[in-house]
Amino acid sequence: MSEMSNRRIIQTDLLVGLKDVSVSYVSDKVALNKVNLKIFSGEKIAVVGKNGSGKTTLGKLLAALVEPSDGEVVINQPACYLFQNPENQVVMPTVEREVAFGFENMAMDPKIMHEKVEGLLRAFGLFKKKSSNVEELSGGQLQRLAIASLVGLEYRLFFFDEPYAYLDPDSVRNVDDILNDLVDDGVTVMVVIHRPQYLEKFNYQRVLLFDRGRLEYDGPVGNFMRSRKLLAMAGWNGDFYFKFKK
Amino acid sequence: MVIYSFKNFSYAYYGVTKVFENLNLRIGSNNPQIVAFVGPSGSGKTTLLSVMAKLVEDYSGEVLFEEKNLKDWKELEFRKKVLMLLQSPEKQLFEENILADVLYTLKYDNLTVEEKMLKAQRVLELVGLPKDRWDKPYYRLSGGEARKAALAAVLVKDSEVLLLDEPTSGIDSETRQELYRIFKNLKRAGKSIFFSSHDVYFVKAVSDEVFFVDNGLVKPAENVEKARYWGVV
Repeated sequence: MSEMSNRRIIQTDLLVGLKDVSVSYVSDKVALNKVNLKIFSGEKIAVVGKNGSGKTTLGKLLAALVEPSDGEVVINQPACYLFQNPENQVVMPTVEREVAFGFENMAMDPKIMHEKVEGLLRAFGLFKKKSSNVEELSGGQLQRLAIASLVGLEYRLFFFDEPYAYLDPDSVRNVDDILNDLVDDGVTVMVVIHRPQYLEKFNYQRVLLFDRGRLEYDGPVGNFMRSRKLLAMAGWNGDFYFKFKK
Repeated sequence: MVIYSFKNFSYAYYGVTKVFENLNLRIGSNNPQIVAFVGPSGSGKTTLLSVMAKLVEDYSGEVLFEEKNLKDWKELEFRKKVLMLLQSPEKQLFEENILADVLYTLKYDNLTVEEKMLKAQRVLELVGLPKDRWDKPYYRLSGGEARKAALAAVLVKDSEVLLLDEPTSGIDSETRQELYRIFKNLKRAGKSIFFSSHDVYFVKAVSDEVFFVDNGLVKPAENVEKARYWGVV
């Protein structure tokens, strides 16, 4: 056992298990505070909470981009992580090459890769832009490209950090359809969302609510949406969606 | 007075991909007001705002600001009146901490150090950034916090016209509600705001006028079926 025995990373059959996990940054800010969590396959999970509540840190922890400072992390497979800002995600010069990048790293057969890339470009409405320089893309197009470059990869767990940001309503629905397809295939998707309408209109099964680094709620969407206290904790009391919904 | 007029305005990315062709448009005629641009990704909303901010000038046709050709405005004179918040906050935050970023906007203002500090602190409180974040550089903040910091750096200047590119992206609902109050207060103070957004409910709640940008056209949203389908109007 290593000298840092109070933080262990163990490979087991469990998709993800966190036991009393905390993550602190060099600034001593505690980003996650004693989080207990289990993630299973085929789930569509919404991750909600105010800015700075720990959502992104959770995603980075599951993707092994940050280490826990305390507690026990059990990972079957690391999560594939979509960065909050697509500019931090996209690395290749053209749209087509960006989508192909992940497959190239898997040493995929070129013919199969070509078919997968073309399919993803069409699914995300980027086929006509396939030879375009990524610098030419709008924010929404760049977001779609960042998502497209990930969803074809063979991960069993995805953490999408605000995938609906920068997207128009039609693109949001399109992305959500693709997320649903992943879930139908037994993949788990965890999605950070800031808008209550997405939680209600898209069929999320489970909500994780973070507040100041703590996991304050882990349960069904319906119970969450009916609780004024939980909505307030997420900062959703008074959201414009509820005003127009009436 | 109409704030912006577009006359036979045409623009193409890299001179090749047409975005707007012979656009004629007058916006901001009921000064002060809050005007939203909505539309599909890639329709040219950011381009439109960038032109209005005098950040893009390789277009043909004319764009007038306060009845004067935008290209004839002297840079410093224009910047006293118009400021823009970019879509990615890190593109306009570069100091060692966000308090310094906000103070940078006031660098050439004729104010004492204490007055600048007070203005900066007030606007950081206004956007809901706690004091323990002020001494951090933007890359140590969460995405939403960085966006608030960039917003503060623009709001501190007290410009007549604010151009905001997707100001609600990445911010939580509480901050969005605060942004609504800020918009309304700015309008009451005589400022005009032009912003792009995909946030249907925010647009509906705060805007005096909504334009739909699509296929090279900019039309009042109430005349556009897709805008009604999206629930923008």
